[in-house]
Amino acid sequence: MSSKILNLIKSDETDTVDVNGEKPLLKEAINLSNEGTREQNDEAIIQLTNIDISLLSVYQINSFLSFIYYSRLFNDKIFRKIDSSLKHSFHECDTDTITKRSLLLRFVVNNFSNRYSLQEVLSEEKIRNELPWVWSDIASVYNWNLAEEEIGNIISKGDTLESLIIRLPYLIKKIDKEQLKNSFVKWYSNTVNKKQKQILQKWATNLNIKFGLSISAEYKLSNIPLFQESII
Amino acid sequence: MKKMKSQDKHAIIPYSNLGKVLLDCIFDGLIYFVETNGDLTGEQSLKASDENLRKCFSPFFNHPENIRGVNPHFSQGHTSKNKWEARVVKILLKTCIDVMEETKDTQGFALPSPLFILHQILTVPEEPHSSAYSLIFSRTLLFENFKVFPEHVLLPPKYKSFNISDINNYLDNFYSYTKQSNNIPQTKNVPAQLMLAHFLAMKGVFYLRFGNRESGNNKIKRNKKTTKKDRINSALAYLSAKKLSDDKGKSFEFHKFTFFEELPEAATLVNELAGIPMPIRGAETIFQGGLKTDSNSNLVIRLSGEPGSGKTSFALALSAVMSPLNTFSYYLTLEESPKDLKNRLISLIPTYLKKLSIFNSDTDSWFWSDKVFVGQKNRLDFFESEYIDRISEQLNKRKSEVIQESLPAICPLIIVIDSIRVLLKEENSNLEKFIEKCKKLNAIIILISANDEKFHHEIDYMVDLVIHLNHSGTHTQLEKPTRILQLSKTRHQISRPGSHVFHLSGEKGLRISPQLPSQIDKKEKISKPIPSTDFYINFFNEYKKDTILDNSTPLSIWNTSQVLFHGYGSSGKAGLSLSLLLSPIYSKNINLLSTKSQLNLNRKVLIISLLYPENYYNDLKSRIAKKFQNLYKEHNVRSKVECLYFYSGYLTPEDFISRILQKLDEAILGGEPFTGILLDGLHNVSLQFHKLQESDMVWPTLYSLLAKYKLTIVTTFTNFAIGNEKNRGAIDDDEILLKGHKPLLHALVQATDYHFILQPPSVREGRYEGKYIVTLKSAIRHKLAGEKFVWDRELLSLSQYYQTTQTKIFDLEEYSNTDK
Repeated sequence: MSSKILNLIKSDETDTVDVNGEKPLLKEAINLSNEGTREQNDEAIIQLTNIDISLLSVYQINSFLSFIYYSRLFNDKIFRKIDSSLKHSFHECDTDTITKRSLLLRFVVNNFSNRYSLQEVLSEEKIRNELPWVWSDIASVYNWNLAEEEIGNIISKGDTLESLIIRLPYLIKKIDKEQLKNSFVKWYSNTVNKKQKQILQKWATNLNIKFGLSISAEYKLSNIPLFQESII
Repeated sequence: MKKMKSQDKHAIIPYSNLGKVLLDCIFDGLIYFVETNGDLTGEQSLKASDENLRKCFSPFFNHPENIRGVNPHFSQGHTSKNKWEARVVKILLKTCIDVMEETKDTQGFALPSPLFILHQILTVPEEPHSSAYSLIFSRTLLFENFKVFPEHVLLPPKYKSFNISDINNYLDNFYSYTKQSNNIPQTKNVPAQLMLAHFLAMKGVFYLRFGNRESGNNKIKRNKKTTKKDRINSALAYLSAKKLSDDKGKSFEFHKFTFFEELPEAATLVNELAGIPMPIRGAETIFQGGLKTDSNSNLVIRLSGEPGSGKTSFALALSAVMSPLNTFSYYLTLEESPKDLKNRLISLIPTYLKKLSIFNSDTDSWFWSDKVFVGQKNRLDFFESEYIDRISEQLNKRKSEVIQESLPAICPLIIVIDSIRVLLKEENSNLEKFIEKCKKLNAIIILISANDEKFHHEIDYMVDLVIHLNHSGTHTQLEKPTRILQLSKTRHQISRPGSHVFHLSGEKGLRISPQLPSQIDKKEKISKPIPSTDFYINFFNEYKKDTILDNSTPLSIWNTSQVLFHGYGSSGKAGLSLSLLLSPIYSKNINLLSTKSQLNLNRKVLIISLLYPENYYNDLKSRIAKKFQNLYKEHNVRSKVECLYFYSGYLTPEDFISRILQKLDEAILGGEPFTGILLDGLHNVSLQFHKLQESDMVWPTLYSLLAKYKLTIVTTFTNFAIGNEKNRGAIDDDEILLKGHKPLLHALVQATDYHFILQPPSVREGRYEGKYIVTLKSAIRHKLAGEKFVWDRELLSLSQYYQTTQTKIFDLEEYSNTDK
């Protein structure tokens, strides 16, 4: 079955449809999803795991993910497989668009969300409008600079930052503290209102990050002698 | 090393513990001096090696901080390698004798201010700018003693403030006193004026003149019956109390030393009293005594320069030398890592500073740096709210702790922002608002910026002080790069703006060689001493058997006069000059001579050599010493020679003069001033020291500055001659070599009380073959022009010149040839 799916994936082009006007890959996935017995599905999963994703193009990976998503053949093993391959795939990518798309796919796989269709995810538009923090969130997994930039953009648009507050601990745990401090400073300079400033300050405090005057300097400044000892 | 406790809220004044002990020792030392030597009979002339005098300083030397082996400058003179060379004792004796010399013709009895002695002792002789630390101690002592302080926001209630207008008034009062009788009374009812008089005495402008006084109707009248003994008793009573001023203010008056033509300017005094003394070589000159902040201790400095011009190093070096003043430096860097900055800081701490008890080797206690992270937008706003506002918040918390009795600290905080340009990427940055905030921090703010004329134009009118650093000569292999410091604006004070040479290195730290006019200005108030008629060098008469030690000697070289030897070829001018300078001096006044015999009569010569290295002169000195052992058996002359050798090359006029003056000041602070200076081989400047040769002002400046020191100055110059021996001195040659002869012309114009020409014997003088004829061309107070001597450079001996024809005294034709 894997060779069949692989062929389908390889032949799957955006404009390739079968005689009924349906995408063959999607159809196969739906069939598997609806009709496949547990044994068949297990078999399918084992075979899918054997597919060398690194040989696929980014677009083919999208198709592959799409297939898994709709066929509901997703499990931990296949997730890890895809995850490692996507990492590789990501590193191969050098244009912004592809990077973001790869990351987006990574997000979909990771969250296994039914809220958005693959098309919606791939079109980015809906995600960007409804879940602006998603970009930074997914970016954080692979590329902190992108995350920093995306959050910076969100802040400069005057976002209330509530969604970011929820996501932040997840975001931050993988980031070097010094780098995070640097980012905080950049975000802070992007703030457009006082509330945003307060929120960022609060985050920073919760995360034990001090930007601006360092704790050491503060301590030392608070001990500067402003008066002198008498010598007589 | 002394470490400031983190919880200690009071700044510790440099040398505060040691200084108090030392001052008491100075009082004791002066008492001993007065008791043993006060009558000036000379029979009990004091020696620096006097054990009892040394004992007066035992409490000081046994102080724990000295026992720990720090502060080596107290016991060692600048050239001494002995542990107990007793620099302190030498300074005490020297200053006392200077005052005696000053008052020799009067019936009064006078002493230097104990603070004057203290100020010198606390200064490291090799580093005269370390007087800044000493000055802090002395002036604080005066402020606390008289309960006065310059205008300041944090002034404690018990203190009265004074300002520049008060200083002006006090100086006017001093002027009127000095014009009448030079007696400046102690004004107990005007404590700030009394403090100022003591301050001037501490600087060596005034001395203390003792005598019994009677007062009536607020007028002080001199009791005509007061004997010298009464005055000495009055001095002893004052010294025994160990207080700066006696309770009634009657035991002494202040007198101005005559070598100060005028009193210092009020603005300079304000810089010294209210400003921050700068422990950087040359900074005292360019800032005229100190760096003045506003009355809130605020000062915003723009420090700019091209990359590599030394901006960061300059700021770091400043932090290091200011640390003994309890100044905390907070370095906010947008470019370098704090770790790198720390390493650079450590490399910029001057070696001498590390040896002082006032220096804290724990750099974290006085220096901290943070890397500033700023975003792409609103950088200045962010920096302002997250740094400046928060620093202000921290400091304001502290201000509530106003302590009723305590004086405000000298300079609590320096904040360096490196660099301000990075914060100003956006057009709409409100720089004015930012700088206004900086001006409320009670700190010195150094805004470092790269070269940007447009930005500088914008910022310069807002900041208080503008310093631009330049590194010239880096674009060509033909030049030695020179660092230039341009001071162009000082809002709160008078200063000496202009371009000054500066250097940065670890061992000696940051140092400035001020431009020539500034170096002259600094000494303008000191009068040029007239060659002393009290003391003279008998060198030219020694070879005569009938030499008599009085004023009628035919050719006496008056002490502190200026002598020029020049001529063609290697005639041994250095040997002749050094013999002259190392010869003992004589005096008409036997008492004075006796008193001075152990100190001032010792000869100490500084050789400024543009020709030979030190070894050459050491050899010469040994030969002369051997010669003198026989010649001056009865004098037991001790002589010292030091050499400042300049290698040919890219020496700047500023550095040349700075180094010479530094050496002279060093010796004064060491307690053994030079008595003579030999400028040897001035002709060598030609072609070999092109920067000196190009400068028209280097020689006039040097001679006019040397004239301010009590020195006998001897210059040697070898005239140039192209062609054969017969053709030497031809007009054409001189024209060609006029440029090279410039130093000679300057020496002639500026600096010649005695002018000698050396030349090989002429054909008619064949009997002197192998020797040189020394002809006196002119001499101050002598009508002996044309007199000749014979100089044997091999034997280092001078002999009488005998005319072949008795009637022919002076060969005009021959003379005019040599004149060229």
